[in-house]
Amino acid sequence: MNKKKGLQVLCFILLTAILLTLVYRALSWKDTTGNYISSYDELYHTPKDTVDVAFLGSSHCYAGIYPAVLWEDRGVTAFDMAVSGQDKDSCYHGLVELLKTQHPQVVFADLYALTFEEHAFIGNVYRNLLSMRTSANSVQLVTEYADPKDREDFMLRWPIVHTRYRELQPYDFLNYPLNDFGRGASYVWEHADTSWNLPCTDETLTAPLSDSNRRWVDRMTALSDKKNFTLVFTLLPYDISEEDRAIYNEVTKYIRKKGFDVIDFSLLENEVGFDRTQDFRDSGHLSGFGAIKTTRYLESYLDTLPSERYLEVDRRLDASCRQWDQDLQWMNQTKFRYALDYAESAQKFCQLLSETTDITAILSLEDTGNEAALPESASSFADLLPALKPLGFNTEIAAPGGKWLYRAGTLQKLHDNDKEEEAASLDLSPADSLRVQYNGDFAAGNVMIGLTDYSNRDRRLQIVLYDNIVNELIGSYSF
Amino acid sequence: MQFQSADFLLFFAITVLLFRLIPGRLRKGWLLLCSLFFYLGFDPRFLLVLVPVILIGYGAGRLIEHAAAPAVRKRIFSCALVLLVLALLVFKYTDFILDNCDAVLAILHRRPLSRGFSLLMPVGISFYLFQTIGYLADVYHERFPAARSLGSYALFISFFPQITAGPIARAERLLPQIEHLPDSQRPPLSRVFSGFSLMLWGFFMKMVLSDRAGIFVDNVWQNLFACGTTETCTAALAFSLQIYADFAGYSAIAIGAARILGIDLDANFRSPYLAGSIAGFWHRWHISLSTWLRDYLYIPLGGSRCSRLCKYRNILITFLVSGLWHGPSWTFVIWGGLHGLYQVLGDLLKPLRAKFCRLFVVRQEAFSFRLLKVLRTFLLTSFAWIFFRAGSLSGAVYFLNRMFTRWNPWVFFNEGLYAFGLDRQEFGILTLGAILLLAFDLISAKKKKDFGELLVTQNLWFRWALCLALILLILTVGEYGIDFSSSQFIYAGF
Repeated sequence: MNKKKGLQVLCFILLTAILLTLVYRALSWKDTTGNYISSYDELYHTPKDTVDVAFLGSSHCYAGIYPAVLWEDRGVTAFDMAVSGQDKDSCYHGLVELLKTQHPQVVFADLYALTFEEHAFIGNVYRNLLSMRTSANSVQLVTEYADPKDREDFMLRWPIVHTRYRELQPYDFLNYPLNDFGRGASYVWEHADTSWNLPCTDETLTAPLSDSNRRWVDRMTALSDKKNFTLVFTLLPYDISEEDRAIYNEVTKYIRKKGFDVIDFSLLENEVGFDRTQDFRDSGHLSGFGAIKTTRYLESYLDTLPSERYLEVDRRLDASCRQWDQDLQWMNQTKFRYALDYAESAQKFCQLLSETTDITAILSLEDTGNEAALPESASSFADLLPALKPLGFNTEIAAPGGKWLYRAGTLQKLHDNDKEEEAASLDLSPADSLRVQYNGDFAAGNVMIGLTDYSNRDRRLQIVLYDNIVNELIGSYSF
Repeated sequence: MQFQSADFLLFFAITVLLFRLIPGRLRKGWLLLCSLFFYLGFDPRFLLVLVPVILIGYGAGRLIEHAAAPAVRKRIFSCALVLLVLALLVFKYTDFILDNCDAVLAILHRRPLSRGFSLLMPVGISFYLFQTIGYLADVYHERFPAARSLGSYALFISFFPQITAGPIARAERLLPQIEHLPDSQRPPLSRVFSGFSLMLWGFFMKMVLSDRAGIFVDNVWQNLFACGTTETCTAALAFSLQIYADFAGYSAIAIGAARILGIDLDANFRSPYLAGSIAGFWHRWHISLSTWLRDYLYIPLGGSRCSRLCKYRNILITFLVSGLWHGPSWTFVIWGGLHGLYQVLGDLLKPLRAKFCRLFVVRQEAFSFRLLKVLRTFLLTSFAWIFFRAGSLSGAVYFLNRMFTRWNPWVFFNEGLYAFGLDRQEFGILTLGAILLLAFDLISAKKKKDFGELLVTQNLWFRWALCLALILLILTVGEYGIDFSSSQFIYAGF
């Protein structure tokens, strides 16, 4: 009888543990770079001993260094172990976490974390302290960073993340595709003119080297000795203030005295060839165009290292490194999407669209027949039909309008713009569903993705793009 | 340490595990050690009050029992009573007394009294002092023999599930159980499960319902200038839910924890909002306090075995003391006084009500009549709770002013209620939780069993499903963690 009762208790405990584990999967914190993209998840998906070069840092790192470039150019497997606002403790413990499964030859660590002791935003505290898998390493990180009164909550995690029941989204239940193959970088090609916002480059400014900064440098260098990797410090470009410059000057002296290199990109702008009208997305972060330049500069730096410190390995034929292929494909996809955004005409847009198989397009062609009802900038039917030819349109199937699906080079008609015809629907991904119907030209509800309406409002041609690589809506474009 | 903390859960798990593993003769000592450790967790200085109170209670009890002459017994009892009441006055009412003296001095244009210090009020002092006084009164009146063992007595006073906020235990009920701890069997699994599920229910009431309702109530009270009838009435009703779920939740956790350890504590709440009269309400709300006041104040004053005027006097005194016991503020006194007044008026108007029912042929056995009585009682108690919640008399008056002079029913329809800390989703959770609580109270009132007792009679799959659902609700939608200030149980401030 006692055995039976004991077994009951054990079964109940097991059932409780399973239930809470399943629920925790939905509630757990899931981003380190924003929007469900987690460099930690990407690390945990990486096969053992495949990373040769690692980069540590904040958003400066994941915005400014593109592993896909190293892969494309040299077949070098690089990884951005970068988290938004990465602080010193998170940097060190993030590296320890990476070193559990990877043995990079060279690690580049950004110095931005040395300019602050505490995060300015609670979101960044969560990103840095909640993304790592629970382990002795994560407990140590929490012990070092968090206030004593908050430590228990950060270690248990549940007291913090349980509130996320208020904000659950599809990717709390489904795996965000990018986390399978992403290499930690955030590929963004939009840019802004930052010529007006130059960093401070005065190398004469000084500030006392703080104990915590000294301790951090010592810890990092000791780890590089212990784990036998080459450690290089970087200062990725951003609008450095005089106060920060003073800190960097002092730290750089200390680091170089210890025999380690510091690559200060703010002092190398001319050498790298940054174009401040194109290479920055904002005053604090590089755009994709700038990231390519920094990455290539680091490539050439790696070439200067002696073979005992770094031996370049081309892993393009290594089956365990497929993720770098996928990541490169993704980088090219983001660049392609950027090009689509800036296509000058429907003709150029459709021409570009016809060159890819990684984007699904939902096309909606509608016409009141009343030219006066449309704005001046609206393209005419006569102009649109030739523009659509690259996608496989011809005048017979295009008139008098309708809804089409263009996917992997194939054009498929979904709806005839006939009020009597039933709506057509299909699932674009596990999280998004499409429905097309005809309530009248320029009426609401003709093109729905989920509960969002993408119907033509004042343009004849509406194209809604869906990214097949990461299963997300790109946007809608009207002509 | 608070009940709703990981520290308490760990502490309790270790307490129970070792309790079940150690030999019977060590159980009393183990529980006493755990109880003192639990109390130490609030502030070590609190032991400087608890230990003397234990010693006074134990010593006086033994002396009373051994004194032959009635006059000597009376003297010992009186001295001990004075010491204990003095302790309560000093730690709880010093500031209240001084504030009122200052108010009188201000009227007389005199300087206020200087205060060189402020005292920290030990957690649970009102509860364990009343428990001690009740014990001594029982010994003095020879209703119960004095405790032989200091350890047993110390555990009786300091027993951790009930030291901070009751139930106020009676010596005749708790002491024998403590004495029999070395010899009693380990509690069977069914009892452990009953206690565990009762604790879960308590945590649900406290963390999902009470703390959530409290967010809305606090926001309304902090922004009364922007509120009218709708918000204040809703807040008054929400506070009725908050205080019930808070205190009954705490009691459920305390009783459940004790049950797991094989000790039965008396029920403290029996579906109080289903009472059909104020007197009936007090037979169901904070039962341990109301019976204590009845047995040690109301009855010694004469109870109802005297003239009507005398009876009313006794009722009013008892409820004024009850109000004052709850807090050193005139608002608590008014709250208590209102309940006394309700009962006096209720008694006075009884003949009139009977005449009314005869005249209008009211079917008193009908469900509609009983429902009306329940609603009337609920509204009267909710009105009185306004004074309980108000931090000051002026605050209560302002609240009532906004309630009765600013008619704004559109707030129900323009989502204005969601601007007070709880959005639509949170309000939904609160409403569903309140419905669940009402459903349980209705079942409990009919079956006369608490949640744990009800659940243990069900089939395995149902027991497990309900417990898992409660665990999930508490851990997911409970108000706790880094973004919340996990509020103290309201009654722990007494």
